[in-house]
Amino acid sequence: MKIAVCVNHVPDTATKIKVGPDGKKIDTIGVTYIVNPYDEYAIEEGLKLKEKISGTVYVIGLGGDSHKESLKKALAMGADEGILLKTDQDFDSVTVAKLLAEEIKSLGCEVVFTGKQSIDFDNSATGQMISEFLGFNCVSNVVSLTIENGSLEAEREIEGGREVVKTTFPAVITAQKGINEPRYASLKGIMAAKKKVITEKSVAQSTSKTKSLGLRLPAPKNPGRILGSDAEAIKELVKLLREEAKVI
Amino acid sequence: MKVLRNSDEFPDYLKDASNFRGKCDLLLLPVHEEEIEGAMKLASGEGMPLTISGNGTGLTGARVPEGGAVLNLGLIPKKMEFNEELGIVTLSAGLPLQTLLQAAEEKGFYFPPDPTEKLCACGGIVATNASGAKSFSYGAVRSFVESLDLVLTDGTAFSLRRGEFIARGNRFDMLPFNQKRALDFTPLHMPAVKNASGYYLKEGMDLIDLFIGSEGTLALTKNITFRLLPKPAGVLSCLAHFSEEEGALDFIDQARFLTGEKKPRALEYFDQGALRLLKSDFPFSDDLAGAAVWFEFETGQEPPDLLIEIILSMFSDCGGKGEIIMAASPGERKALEQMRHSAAYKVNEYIASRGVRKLGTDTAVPAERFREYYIESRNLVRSAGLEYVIYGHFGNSHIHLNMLPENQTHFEAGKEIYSELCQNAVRAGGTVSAEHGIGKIKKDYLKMMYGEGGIRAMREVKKAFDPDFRLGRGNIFDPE
Repeated sequence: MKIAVCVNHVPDTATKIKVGPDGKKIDTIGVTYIVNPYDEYAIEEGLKLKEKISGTVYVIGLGGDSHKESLKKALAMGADEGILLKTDQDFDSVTVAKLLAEEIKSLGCEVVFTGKQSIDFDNSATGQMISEFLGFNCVSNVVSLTIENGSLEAEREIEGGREVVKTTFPAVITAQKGINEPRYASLKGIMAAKKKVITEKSVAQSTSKTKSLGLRLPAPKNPGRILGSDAEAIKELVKLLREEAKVI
Repeated sequence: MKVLRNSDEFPDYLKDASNFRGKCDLLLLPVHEEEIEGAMKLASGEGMPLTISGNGTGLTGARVPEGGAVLNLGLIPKKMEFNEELGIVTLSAGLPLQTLLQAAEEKGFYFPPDPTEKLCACGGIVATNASGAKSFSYGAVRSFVESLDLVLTDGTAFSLRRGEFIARGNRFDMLPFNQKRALDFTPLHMPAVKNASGYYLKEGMDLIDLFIGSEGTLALTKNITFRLLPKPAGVLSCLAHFSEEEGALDFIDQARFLTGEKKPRALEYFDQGALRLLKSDFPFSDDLAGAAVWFEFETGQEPPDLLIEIILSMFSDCGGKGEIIMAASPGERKALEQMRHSAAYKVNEYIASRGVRKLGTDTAVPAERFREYYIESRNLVRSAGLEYVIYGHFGNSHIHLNMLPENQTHFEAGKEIYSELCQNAVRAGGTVSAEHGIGKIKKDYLKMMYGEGGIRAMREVKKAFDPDFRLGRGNIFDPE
């Protein structure tokens, strides 16, 4: 089976985000990028499926040269081939989904794994949109997946509980934390990844349907107050929690 | 300055992370740097012994008072000034190490000492000459101290820069606070291993080295200037499991002798007990393995192929189990590092929950004697029927063998073994404490190492700075 995993390359969760000079993009100086954490679950799920029923895992990224770093990590974890849809443009979710869907279609993949969202722009839309472009079934926010005899049974995280869903291939699965424990790359995997191919492809001329007008940082939090370091401070703390913060 | 006289109000200042407990009559909390000298004089004026207290993360009772007064710098506003051109940082002794590490990283610098507890005060890491995993490549805190602002027990303040006061043989012709006074000392036969036991006393030494590792017995450290290194472009951080512990020891032996660009900066060991302890928090810890090694190499952006090939070949030669896992992101690197530090946290938690004191070795021996020492130590504890976990900075031949006594009877049995393990380390030409210090709980072991003569030499030096033995009383050695 041909298995596609869509992988985004995003700022490390520990990054202190600053808005760049144009007010529309973040300032990338000093920012460390990582594989989108939800996509790591998608990679792991793709690798598990390959190990179970055999096949080829294609990891597909869309972005600049630096995105190869995340693809390399996926290859070191055990994916077979990398594809970078190369562009320096920023697209909205629907355009990203369309470009990824076209590539997945040309590869002939029957199943697509991706994270439930990218932690940079948090649209939580690309996976579902890919399924729409491809005409695939889609189960989102999946925390548990069992595949038997061509049938997929998934548990989805929903408000206050879980929903159990059954579907068939071809399908898009968007992964939520808890679906698996992503493996670490191995040292041997790193060596092997060096011999694996990352094919760069240029993307078709595309225009986003929505346009970002600008980025704004949240208002800074009020500084904390130290009330003291001994028992006396507790009385004052209780008083302030009751009268000022009104939380007790 | 905040002055508290009822010890019921400050129980946290009467213990440390080893669960060693003490008592005192007075807590002094200066709120401005200028009040420190006054606080020292106040304790002196009342004729009280004075214990300097950091953040309470130590493991030897050095910050725990046995009566008298305690002085803590926690309420003083913390300063931290980087001189990026010179690659140095000057900071308040009360500043937590964590704050320094974060700020240094953000500025593209690297401060290698990394003791498990990052909330320790920077003054504390100087007082104990702390180290951590990276000491294999970089040495302990001592290597990074450029200058100290110090205050003597009578309130006399002075600064000391590295290179400023060098002994002529066994004599300092003058002291920074009194140019007419000389100091003669007897050097110690310090072991040629990583060492944090007792004073640093060596022919031709730098006076600043006497204060580093003096465990709050000579002077209070007010401010510190540390030397920083540039942050490496890349770090290869891996965890390798081995079917047998012998394999892990073989791997460390081979890796220890890699040199130049292929020299590892950390070589850390976990025995099966430690892997079991860590399994629930770190699923990649394989508790069916005999042992594991966490190692780090500084590399360029990408680890060189040759280095990877060497590591893989050593892994295969030494009976590696499964695959060597590699951190491929800063978060994963942190997780591997965290795994190592969690081993110590978990042991400390266990000890606190049982209400007994920590029984963990901090011994180091010369590399050529290490394997024999390791096996002998493990067998001793095993044959006594005590539960234990072993981890440590095995690159430095430095072992933390932690006995896990379930009750006071086990603790007493463990204490005897502990003493034997210290004796064996000394016999092998090693040290009884490689990084935690002596404090109040390892004084007897220090005597094993240096004998009465060595203790006398240290006591004589202390007299020159603290004639009434007021400062850090009960640390390292007892007053005569």
